[in-house]
Amino acid sequence: MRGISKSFPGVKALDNVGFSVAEGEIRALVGENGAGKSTLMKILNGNYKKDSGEILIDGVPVNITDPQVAGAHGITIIFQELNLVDELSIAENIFAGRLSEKGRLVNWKEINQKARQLLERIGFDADPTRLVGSLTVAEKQMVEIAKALSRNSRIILMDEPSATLTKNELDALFDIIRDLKKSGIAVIYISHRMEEIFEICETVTVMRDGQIIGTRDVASVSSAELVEMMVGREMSSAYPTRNAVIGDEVLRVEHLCRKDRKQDVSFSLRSGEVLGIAGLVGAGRTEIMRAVFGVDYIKSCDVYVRGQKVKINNPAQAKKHGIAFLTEDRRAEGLTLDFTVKANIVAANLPSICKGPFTSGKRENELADEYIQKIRIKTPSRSQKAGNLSGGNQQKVVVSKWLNADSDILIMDEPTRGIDVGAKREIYEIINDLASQGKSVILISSELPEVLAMSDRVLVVKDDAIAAELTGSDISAVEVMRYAL
Amino acid sequence: MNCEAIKRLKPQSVGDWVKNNTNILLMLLLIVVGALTTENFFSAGNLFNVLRQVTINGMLAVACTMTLLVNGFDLSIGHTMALGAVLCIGFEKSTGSGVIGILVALGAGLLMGLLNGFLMKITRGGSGEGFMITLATGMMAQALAKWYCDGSEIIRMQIPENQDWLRFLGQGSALGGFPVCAIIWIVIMVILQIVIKKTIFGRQMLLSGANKKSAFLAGIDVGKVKLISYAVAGTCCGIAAVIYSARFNSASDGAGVGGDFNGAVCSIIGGNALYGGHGGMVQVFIGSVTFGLITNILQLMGVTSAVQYIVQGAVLLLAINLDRLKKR
Repeated sequence: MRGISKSFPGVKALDNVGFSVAEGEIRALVGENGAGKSTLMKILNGNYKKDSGEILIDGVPVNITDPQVAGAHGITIIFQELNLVDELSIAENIFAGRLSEKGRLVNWKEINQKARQLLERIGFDADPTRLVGSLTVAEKQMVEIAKALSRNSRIILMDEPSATLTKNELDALFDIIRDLKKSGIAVIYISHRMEEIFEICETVTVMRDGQIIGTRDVASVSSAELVEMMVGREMSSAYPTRNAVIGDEVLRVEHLCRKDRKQDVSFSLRSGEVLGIAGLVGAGRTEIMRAVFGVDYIKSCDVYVRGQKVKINNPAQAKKHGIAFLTEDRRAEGLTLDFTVKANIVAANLPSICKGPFTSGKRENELADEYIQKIRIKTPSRSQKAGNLSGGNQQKVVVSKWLNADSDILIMDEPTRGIDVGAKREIYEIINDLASQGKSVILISSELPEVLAMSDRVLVVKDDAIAAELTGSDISAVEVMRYAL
Repeated sequence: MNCEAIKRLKPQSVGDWVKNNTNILLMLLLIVVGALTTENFFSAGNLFNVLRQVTINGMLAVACTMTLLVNGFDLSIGHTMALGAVLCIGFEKSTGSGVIGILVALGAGLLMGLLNGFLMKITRGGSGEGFMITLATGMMAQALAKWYCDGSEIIRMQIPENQDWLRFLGQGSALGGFPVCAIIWIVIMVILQIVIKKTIFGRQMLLSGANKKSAFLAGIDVGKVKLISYAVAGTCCGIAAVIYSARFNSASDGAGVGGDFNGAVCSIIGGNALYGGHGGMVQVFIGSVTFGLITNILQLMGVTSAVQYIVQGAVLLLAINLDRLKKR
C-alpha cells in the first residue's frame, strides 16, 4: 500500500501511509485505539474506500472496491466482532454463500466433512452441525478462523484474534499461523498483547495518529520501545503498585451449586482486597460470578454479606447489597450504547437523580460531571452517545455506573479486554484506588500478567470448581498454570 | 482525543438536523398544503375540527407508543378499543349509568393490557413476540366484541342532549370551542410524557426498551416494567373506546379494524423509534396531526379509499426508513 490517505468528516484517519508485507511474512500491527490500524485494514479489505494512494499485489496495482473483490485477490479479514449467524450450524457459517455450485443442490455430507477437516486443522474438536449460538465466544472465534482458512487466502488480517482464547487455543492458532507461513500466506496480526507479538510475529509496524511510526524486526526491538512508539512518550511499568490494607470479610459464598454441575464452590472476600480469578477460558469463572450476582439460576447457595446471610435471586437484590457486576461484554450488557454517557452513568441508581418524585436533569448532569472528572472519562460532552466512546472510556462509564450505585464489591470480568495500553493502565489505577478506599474487587482475567500483578490473592478455577487459592509468594504463573490445566 | 472517536463526534450539520426532525418538517409541509387547499384553514373552527378527528387515532397512537418504547408492539389496540366501545354502550344501556359503561370499558382495556403484558413477561419477548402475541389477543378481543353484540351494531339509547354528559365527552366543546375529547387526549399525553421523561419508571421503560440485558443487569425488573407498560397501553385503548362510543353513539366489533395500523403509523411518523428506548408523546402528537392532515387532504381531493390506504402505507414505509437512517 502506498500513499494511502483517508479522511472522515472532521478527522484525517490515515495520512499518506505506506505499508507492505512479503509472502509468508508474519507482521504485527500495533497502535493505540484510534491510531488507524482498523481503518488501514478495512481499506485493504474493501470495507472503506481510500481517498488517495494505491494498493499493489505482486507489484500490480489493484482496485479493491468491496470485500468480495478483496477476497478474490486473496485478502481475508477476521474481525474482532464476530461475523457469525447464531442460528446456523458451524459448517453453514464457514461456507456461507458458497454452499454449492450455482444451480446444484447442497451436498451436506461433503460440506460437513470439509468443515470438520478445517476444524481439525485448528485443533477444534466440534461437530460441524452444531449451532454456532451454542458455542462460547472463544469457540466462535475458532469458527471465524476456519472460515478464513476455507477461502484459500494469500493475506489474512487478524484483528485481535486472541482476546478470548486460552493458552492452548492460542498455541494452536500460532501453529496454524506458522503453517500458513510455510504455504506462503502472509498474516497481519493486530493485537495489544505484547507477549503474543514477540512470540509469533517476525516484524512489527507501529501506527500512531494515522501515521506509520516505523517497522521493526521483532528480534531487535523491546516491548518498552514499542510502547514508547505507540504512545509517543515514555511509559513506566505497566502495572501501578499499591499498599494493600486488607480488612474484614465483606463477602462469603458457601456451597454454590449450579444446575447440572457436580462441584460446589466456596470462597470469601475481604475489604480492600483485589481477588484475582484465574483459569482457562471455559473453566467456569464467569458462570460462578453470574450465579453470585443472581443472573443465573442456581440450585443452592449461601451468601453472606458482611456476616449477614442474604438472598440474591436477581441483580436488583445483589445491587442492594452493594455488589456490582461488570460483564465481559461491556457493549452489549454493560452499557446502553444508544443512550448518552450521563444516562448510562445513572442507570443503576435512578433514585440518585431524583429531586422529590421526579428525576432531575440537573442532578443527572451534576453526577455525570462528577464521574467524568473523577474517573477521567474522555468524552467531548456528557451527552455523547456511549457507543461512540473508545473501549477504555466505555469501561470507565460502566465503572462509574456501579460506583454511582454505591457498590463496594465489584466483580469485574475481563475489564481490560480490547483496551489499549494507555487506557489499561488507567483502569488498573482505578482498581487500585477502589481497593485503597476499602472497596473490594473480584478480578476475572485471562491475561495472566494482569492477574498476577494486580491481585492480593488468586483463586484458580478449573472445571467449575476452585482448584487452588494462592497467596503471597505462591502467586506466580507457574503455580496458576499448575492448577489451571 | 483519538481519531476514531473524533470522527464520530462531529458537530451536527444542517443535514443532520433535517434528518432528526423530518417529523416536524412533514407536519409543517402538510399544514402549508392544507392552508393552500382549504379555505379558512387556520380558523378556530377548522383547527378544532382537525383535532377532534385525530383524537381517537391519537389515543391509539398513545397506546402503541407505550409498547413501542419498551421494545414491544401492540397489534391488539384496535380490537381492544372495539371491545371496550361495545361494552361501554352495552353496559350503559343495561344499567342506565354512563359511569358504569366507562368503568367497564376502562376495565376491559386494562385487562387486555395486563394479559398482553403478562404474556410478554413470561415469554421475555421483544417486538417480534409482541407482534404475534398481540395479534392473537387482538383477535380474541374482536371475537369477544362480536359475541357480545351478536355481530351487529350496538346503539346507544336516546338521552336528551342536556343530560347526556357522556356524549359531551365525545362530541362536546369547552373553553371556547375546544373539543372535549381532544382535551382528554392532550391531558393523557401530558401525564404520560411526564412519566416517561421525568420519573424513575419512565427511565426504566426506556432502558428496558433500548437494551433489556443491560437493564436487567443494572437491577431493573424488565418483565414488570413491560407488564405495566402494556397495561397502560390497554387502558388507553379503553379511553379511546369511551371517546369512540361517546362520539359515534354506536359501536360494533369492526370498530377497531385498522386501529392498530393507524396507531402505529401516527406514532412512527411522529418520530418514535421502532425498537424502543427513544421517543415520547410529543412525537405522538406530531404524528397524529400529520396523519390526520394527510387523510383530510386526500379526502378533500376526492381520492378513493384504496388510494388513501396506499398513500398511508407509503408514509409508514417512509417513516420507518427515516427511523433507520437516524440510527446510522
